[in-house]
Order: sequence, then structure tokens, then C-alpha cells
Amino acid sequence: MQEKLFITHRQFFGAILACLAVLAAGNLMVQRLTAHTVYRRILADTRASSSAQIVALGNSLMRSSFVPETFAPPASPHDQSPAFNLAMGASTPVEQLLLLRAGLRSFSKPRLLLYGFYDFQLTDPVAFSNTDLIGNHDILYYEEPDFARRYFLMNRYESVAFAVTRRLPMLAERGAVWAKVELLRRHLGQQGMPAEATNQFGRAADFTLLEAKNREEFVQHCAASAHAELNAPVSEIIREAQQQGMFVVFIVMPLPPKHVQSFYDTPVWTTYQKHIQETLAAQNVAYLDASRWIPDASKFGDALHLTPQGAGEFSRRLGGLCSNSDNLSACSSIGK
Amino acid sequence: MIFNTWAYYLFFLIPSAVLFRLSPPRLRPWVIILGGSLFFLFFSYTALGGLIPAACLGIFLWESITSRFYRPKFWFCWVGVMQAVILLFVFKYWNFFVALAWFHAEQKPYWTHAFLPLGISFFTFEFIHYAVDRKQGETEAGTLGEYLAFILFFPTMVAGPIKRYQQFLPKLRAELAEWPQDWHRGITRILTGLAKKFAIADVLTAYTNHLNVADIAVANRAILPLWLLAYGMKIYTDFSAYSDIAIGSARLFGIPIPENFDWPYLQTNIAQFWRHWHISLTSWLMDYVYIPLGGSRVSPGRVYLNVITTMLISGIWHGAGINFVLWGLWHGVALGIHRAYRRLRPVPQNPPPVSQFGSWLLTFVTANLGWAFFSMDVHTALFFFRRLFVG
Amino acid sequence: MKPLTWLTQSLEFLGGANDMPPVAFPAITNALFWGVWWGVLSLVIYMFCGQSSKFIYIDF
Repeated sequence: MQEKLFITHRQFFGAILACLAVLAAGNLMVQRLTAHTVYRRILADTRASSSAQIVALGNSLMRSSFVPETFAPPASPHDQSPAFNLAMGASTPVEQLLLLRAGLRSFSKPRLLLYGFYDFQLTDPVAFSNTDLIGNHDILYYEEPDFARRYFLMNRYESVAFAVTRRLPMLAERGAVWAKVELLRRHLGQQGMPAEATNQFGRAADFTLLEAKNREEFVQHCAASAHAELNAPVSEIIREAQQQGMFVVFIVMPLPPKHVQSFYDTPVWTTYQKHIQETLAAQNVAYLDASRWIPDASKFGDALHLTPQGAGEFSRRLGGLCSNSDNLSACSSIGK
Repeated sequence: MIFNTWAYYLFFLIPSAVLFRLSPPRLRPWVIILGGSLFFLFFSYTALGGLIPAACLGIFLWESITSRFYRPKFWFCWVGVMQAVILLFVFKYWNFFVALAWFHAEQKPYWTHAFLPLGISFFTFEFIHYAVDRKQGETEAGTLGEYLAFILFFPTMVAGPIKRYQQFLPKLRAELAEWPQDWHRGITRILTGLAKKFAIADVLTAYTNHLNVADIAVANRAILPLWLLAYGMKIYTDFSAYSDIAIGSARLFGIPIPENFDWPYLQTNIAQFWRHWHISLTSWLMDYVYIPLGGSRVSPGRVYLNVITTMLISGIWHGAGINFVLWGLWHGVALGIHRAYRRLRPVPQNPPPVSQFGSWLLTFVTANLGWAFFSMDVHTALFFFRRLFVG
Repeated sequence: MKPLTWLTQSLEFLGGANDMPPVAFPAITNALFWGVWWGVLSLVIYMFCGQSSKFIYIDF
């Protein structure tokens, strides 16, 4: 006759310890498997590019659009381009600030910062809770966490959660693990369905979610931001770059004609742009509106990002305008 | 979902279960009442958005007071039944009723900010059970604290199983078994439920998210059966996972709760399916709908009507929509056909394997085809069947 | 015992639904076994619990 399971105190606590040991092993495995995540690769490249003089910074728009070798071709085939793409996809100004600080520690002679943005990224507030820190946001756990925490709105519970999470790779890198499951789900979901367009960042259709739903919503956002100050991390980016002697140019990135016609061809956007340009000019920052540089919709892979062909065109034009160190002020313009 | 939050385990389950074990027997019901009340307030406020849902804790307090007046054969028990039915109607079915009754009207008296108090579909059924069984003398009253502990027992509050007072009370009063055994099995059950929910049920939403008109229209026809089967598996693993977590949580208190799912998809006829699927609901419907209607003790025609009525109520209980009514009707008709077939051909003693497989397949297909009405509105479900069978 | 019955009873035992293992299944009380099993379940939960996160960018 089978015996019913009977568990003693010792067996119970033994099982708990064994479980914790398995979790510790899982923790180590996650740490090893996530040793080359995006921000780590960017920082490694930064350390290997100490001669970079022109730095591109921003989110995925700059990441996909700025081609250093096209912007500023190297003097010889064996040399590196003097330009470096420090932008990172799925990032906010806080992560970009951390990347800039890391870059400034590595670059020996940085002279020009090209900061790419779109819509209201300069003025929209940035605030994180611990649950937001997945994906590329996880740089905030590792890279100067105490510095970055000034941009958090953390209560005591959040502070404890942040402190615990950043010490356990399994928790800090949860986004990377979850992304693999998400890819599995997308693969399953695609079975029997027409193929959906994807690019280096994800599904092309998803990026419409990063635009305003309609012109009304965009106009309301413009009106609400008409007198807004630059958000704190953006101001800090300017300050740190200028402290290193860099000339700073803020660039409205190229956007598809649909986005420009729906949103940027509005009086409120022009008013907002003027406000931003004046705010930046007061801090000796140049402003360049490149939103209409690529009028051909086929050179965009989704609602926001250029194709490689479009990126080449943008980088070439920007390089023609900004790579000449004697004429950096020519970078500043609106609507050209 | 509440069972996948840290708050549930760290703030409610573990502290309550530990305190329950450490408390003397006379205080244990009050530990459950305190834990359950805080649980209801916290998750009503955070998940349902605000003070008004949280204030619905008053429903439990009111019910506990009125329950003190229930006595065997006393008419007041029907008041208890009616107030539970009215609560369910107002919160869950008012807008559905308005849409039907004011069909032609331009202005309809919708309740625009309608919300569902946490666990209303479950706790109202427990209120009705207690009132009816008290009237029939089938359960003792218990103390106020014991009844409050029964209705505020938070592991089963949100998603069942629907408990019976006469099963719960002896366990509440019993001496607790050694805790390592209960905690070991409870933790195992909870982890199994969570793994089932996340690794199976949630992954299957990759398929089931396509059950809408736009995707059905463009999909390859061959994938449609897979989507429906995925829904059948998803709803099973999802709901049985909630039951696993509820039963495992209750085990930490040392209170065994009856099983709610017993391998329903392995059953070889639709009647057996319903004895193994959402067991606590099926037995509740048997005891408080089917049998009071006459059950099987009436004329054959009435029996079929009773079966269909019971399943219609099951459908409506699951959701306020015509599609749920159709789902209930689907199963009511299937049960009726099964009953009629069994009258003509009784169950053989040793059915051959081929026959058993055929019975299993028929049951499996019947149950899964019914999910089309459960998962989609009527228009979409009919469109799905058209594409599936016609093209 | 039929194989299917044995399988369902084994799964119930491993899943905590049954304290009685089926015939020819040892009543494992070994702490290491259950600890590893809990660890595996926990890792599975960890891997799959992020599905409510909305991924727009998935390049990390």
C-alpha cells in the first residue's frame, strides 16, 4: 500500500534551501546570458572609441538614422570615423544622460553633440517607478544608480524594491528574459496570419503607438507644453556637454510625411518649436529642424524610423552641414 | 489578477496564514475576518479604482447581520436569497437588462459608472447557499464570527471554489495538522497554479487574441481550429490555476477546500465533463436550481427543460451577454441529447477502446466548439463558424 | 493501473493536489527533490510572468 506523503520541519526547510539554491543558479545564468545587452554593447563601443569628437545622442530615431561613417567618413579605411553614435533605442533622456556621462569619461576630445528628438521629448516629464525599469531602461540599475535616482519619484516601497532589484540580475534583467517569451508569443501568433513587417526594433505597426492618436490630442499636448521648461535630464545633458567644451545641437529628427502633415504642419507646433528654440538659444544650444528632410515615405520603415537608405541620406546631409568645425553655427536652422 | 501580485502573498496570505496558526482557536475566525476585510478593501481600492468599490465591504457586514435571523423553515431566509439575487442583478446585469428591455428607446437608463464588487459572482452564491440550507435545516448557524470568516475567506473570495458552510465550519473548528505538511503541499499547489497560468494559459493568448472579426477574416482557415482549441485549453488552465492557487492558499491555513477541476477534458461524455469542470459551480447549480425545479423526478419533457434552464443560468452567471446565453444553451442541448441517448442505449459494461475514444473525441469537440460562444460575441462567433466550416 | 490514471495521479501528486502518490511512484519526501521542483516552477513563473508588459521595442 502506498504511503501518504509526510513532511517534517527539517524536510520543509531543506526544500526551501534547495529552492533558493536553484534560484541562485538561475540568477547566475541570467547574469551570464545578459552580459551583452544593448547598453552594455554601447558602453563597450564607447570605451573603444576614445578618439570620437562628434557624438550623436538620443533614442531609436537617432540610433537608426545616424551613420557615423556616412556623416563623417574616416580619413583612411583603417581609421575610425570621428563621429560616434551614442544613441540607444527605447531610452529616455535619463538613460541618454547616463550614456553621455559614460562617453565623456572615455572620449578624449569631444567637440560636438548632436541630440536627436521628436515631438515633446524635451519637455515631457520623466519619472520612473521600479516596474518601468525593463528593457534598455535597466541601465539605470547599473550605471551610476545613485546619480540616476534623482529622476525617480520613489516612495519607501519603491526605494526598497529598487535596491533589491538592482542587486539581483534575475530581477534587473527580467525584461530581457520576458522579451524572449514575447518573441515566442509573436512567433506563435503569426502562424496562419499574413506576415507582419518588422525592423531592428520590433514590429513596424507598433510604433504608431508612440505617436499621438490624432491631431486633436497632439494640439492639446502642444498647448499644454507651450511654456514648459526643458525636463531636468535634458538640461543636465546640455550642462555636462558644454562643461566639456562641446558645441550642442538639438535636432528634430526626420519623420514620415504623414506625421509631418498630421502634426507638424500646425500653428501650435510652430509656436512650440519657437519656444523650444528660444529656450535652447538662451543656453547657447543650436536648433535644427530636420523633420522634413526626407519627404519620401518609402525611406521610412515604420511610423518613426528611417530605413538604412533614408539613414544614409540623413547622415550625409547632416554631415555636410555640421561636420565642419569652422561652421558649427550653420547647424542652427528651422524648417530647411 | 490578484494572485499574481506580490501584495497578495507578502501582505495578506503569508501574514494571515501565520497569524491564523499562532492564534488560539477562538480567535482564528477573527484573523480570517481581519485578513479578508483588509484584502477586500485593498484590492477593491487599487484594482477597481476607489472608495466606492471598497465600501462594498458593507455588503458582507449586512449579510452577516441578516444571516443571524435565518432559522429552519423561517420565511426570512427567502429575504436573504432575494437580497443576494438583487445585488447580483443590480451590479452585474442591470446594463444588460436595460439594453434588452429598452431596445427601441433612444435614451436608456444605463448605469454609466457600473462596477463589479470584488468576487460578487461567488460571494452571492455563498450567501444564497447559506440562506437556503439554513431554511432547510441542512446547516447549523455557527457564530457570527464563523459565518463572517466563511464569507470573508479571501483565498476563495475572488474566483472560487464556491464553498459550502457545512464543509467549511468543521475545518475552521478542527485542530490544525502539523504546519510543515500543509505548507509544503500548499506551496507546491500555489507554484503549480502560477506556472500553469503563466507558462500555458498566458502563452496561449498568442492564439486566442486572434479571435476577432478582422483576424478571422484574413487568417488561413487551417489555423482556426487551433485557435479554438487554444481557447479551450487556455480557459481550462487559467481557471484551474486560480483554483490551484486558492486551494493551495487555503492549505496554508490548514483549511482544505474541495477540488474544482478534475481532468474535465479526459471525460467521455458531456455529463461527466460537467461533473469534472468547475465542480463547485456545477454542484451549486444542481442543488439550488436543478433539484428545486424538480430535477429528474418529473416528466421527461420537464427534465430536459430543467437541464436547459440550469445551463442557461450557468451561461448567464458567466457573463452578461447573449453569447453567454447561447453558450449555456449549447451545453444544455448537449446534455439533453446525451440524456436522451442514454435512455435509448445505457452505458455498456466494458466499452471497447474504439468506442471509448469516439466518446472522448465527441465530448472534447462538443465542449470546445461551445467555447466559440463563450469567447466571442454572437456575430463574431457565427462568422468564425462560417469561415471554419464553409470558407 | 491504467497508464493515463497513473499519469494524472502522478501529476496531481507533483502539483500538490494529492498527498498520496500513485502505485510505483515513491512517496518522495526528499527535500532536495521538492526544493529543485519548486525552483524549476519558480524559474518557469519568472520567465513567463512578464506577458502583461507591453513591448513596443524588443531589441534588447
